[in-house]
Amino acid sequence: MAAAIETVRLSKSYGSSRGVLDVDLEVFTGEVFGFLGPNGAGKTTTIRVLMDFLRPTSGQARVLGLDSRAHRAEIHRRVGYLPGDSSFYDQLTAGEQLAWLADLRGGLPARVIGELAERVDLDLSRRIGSLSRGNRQKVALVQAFMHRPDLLLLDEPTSGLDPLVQEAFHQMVAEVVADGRTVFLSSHVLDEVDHLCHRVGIIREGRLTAVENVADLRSRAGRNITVRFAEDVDPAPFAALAGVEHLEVTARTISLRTSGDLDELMKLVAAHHVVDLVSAPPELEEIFLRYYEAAEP
Amino acid sequence: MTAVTGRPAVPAPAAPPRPRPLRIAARSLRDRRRALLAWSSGIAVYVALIVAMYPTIRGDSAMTEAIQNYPDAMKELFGGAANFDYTRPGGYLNTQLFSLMMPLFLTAFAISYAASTVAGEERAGQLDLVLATPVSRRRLLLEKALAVAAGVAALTTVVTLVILAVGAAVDLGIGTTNAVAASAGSGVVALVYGGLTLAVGAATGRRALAVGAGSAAFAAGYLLEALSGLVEGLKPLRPLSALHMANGSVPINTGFPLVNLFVLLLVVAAFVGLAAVLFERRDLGTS
Repeated sequence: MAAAIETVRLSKSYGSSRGVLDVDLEVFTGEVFGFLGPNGAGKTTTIRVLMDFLRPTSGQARVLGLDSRAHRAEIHRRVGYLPGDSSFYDQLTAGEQLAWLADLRGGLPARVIGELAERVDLDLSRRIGSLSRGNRQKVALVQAFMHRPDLLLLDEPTSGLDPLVQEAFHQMVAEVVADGRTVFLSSHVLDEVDHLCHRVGIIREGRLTAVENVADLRSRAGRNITVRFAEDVDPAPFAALAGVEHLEVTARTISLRTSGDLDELMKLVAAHHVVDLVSAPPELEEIFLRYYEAAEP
Repeated sequence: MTAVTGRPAVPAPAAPPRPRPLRIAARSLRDRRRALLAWSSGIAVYVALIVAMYPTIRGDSAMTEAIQNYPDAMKELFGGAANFDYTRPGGYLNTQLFSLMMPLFLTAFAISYAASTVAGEERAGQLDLVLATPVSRRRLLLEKALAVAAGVAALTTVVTLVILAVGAAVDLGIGTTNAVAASAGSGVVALVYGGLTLAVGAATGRRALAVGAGSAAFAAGYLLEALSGLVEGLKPLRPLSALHMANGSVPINTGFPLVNLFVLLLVVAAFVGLAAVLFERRDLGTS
């Protein structure tokens, strides 16, 4: 099946250090692809090149099989874009802004906008200038989805959204994928990537350092485990377990990260009187850090 | 069967939806309707006062005489010594309105509008969502230019109508054609410097730089026109001043300087064309 996005040695340099270098990215039609990286790593730059807002210094990008520069209008007709920092005409109501953007796409039935607004709980009659950040993000979501695009390019789509609306957004993404359409999103939230994305690309300092299947990434990332005991415990046997790192002992609490066998660890823990136990997936930043440590010479 | 009737078996795919025309220009003007109303009111009051005062000034011979005895250098700053004649309504209006104040007001409006509507909106991130639609950058720029021109045309119309209406009330004695010609000259001057501002903003995305370029060019054009009456060597350069081209012939007395206005409109078109080309070629930024 044709790739929804394909970049070949895509580079964009500007100013000082920002930009991207030699990015070879392939996003398959019908998948949800997560684009992960710290701020300034080049996520927004890449998306803005795909939108033809920025021109590549070298290399090229194809979106929906079309050259990003030569077929800009056709691409924009079939792409829904959500900018990382949405800015609207504040004096308009949400409904006016959306109807106007729909006009620029040749017009859409008002019903379509109304239904989407209802799903994300957006009041179309309010002036955009009076909306909170989360509500502005809803406006941005509606405009990205309203023309049923073949590809959604979403830059931090859930930032500022409350959990209920995030749930509605996840549902909307699921429907897009069920239709065989494609979603490309950047995110910092591991849980979200876990729920939504089939694959992730990790970008660091402008370079695409890894493309991973989410399930693999997750299993390799391991768990952070903190156990509080009722008695003093010798940490040595824990440290000796395979896959255990970053072991810390404070009073009667042991915290560690493990990518090894949980069963062995639990049996060691069970030999003592346990007061409390917390097991959590690591923060995305932590997974990043590990990638970066691995990448260091 | 389809072969017999010659009709295709499958209906041709519907033409892809096209952006509806002039939505960007209309939106821009609507968003600025309060500013337009404020500028119109201010200019209308100013022009009305100037025109309404004329009978008093003409009737006060001591005053007209004192004014006629202003030093030539002073007169050059307001349309030239040769045209400085408060005993005639055309001379009075040229000095009071068309030698500086009307072009200045209309140009200030055009520059601030042209700078904010492209470079300003780009910096604010407002253009991203617009340009994410199939609307091309060139189309956006042309519609924005059209909106600025429509705003200038509206203010120009206000100037004309107030001169004619108040003029009729005080028996001013200025013909309609000449009133239109002089007002249009101010409007075309505003379009020239507004066009330059639009081009600099479109080329750089920097609003302050655009405002600076437009304002500096207007100031230079005005000084050139004013000083060339005092410094003989500057006279050959006067065609570089839009103010001179549009108002040097004192259209409030002589009517439309058609060739000059045509040349200025070509310059405006060139600025807008340049703006479209440069806007198309560069990276879009947000702050």
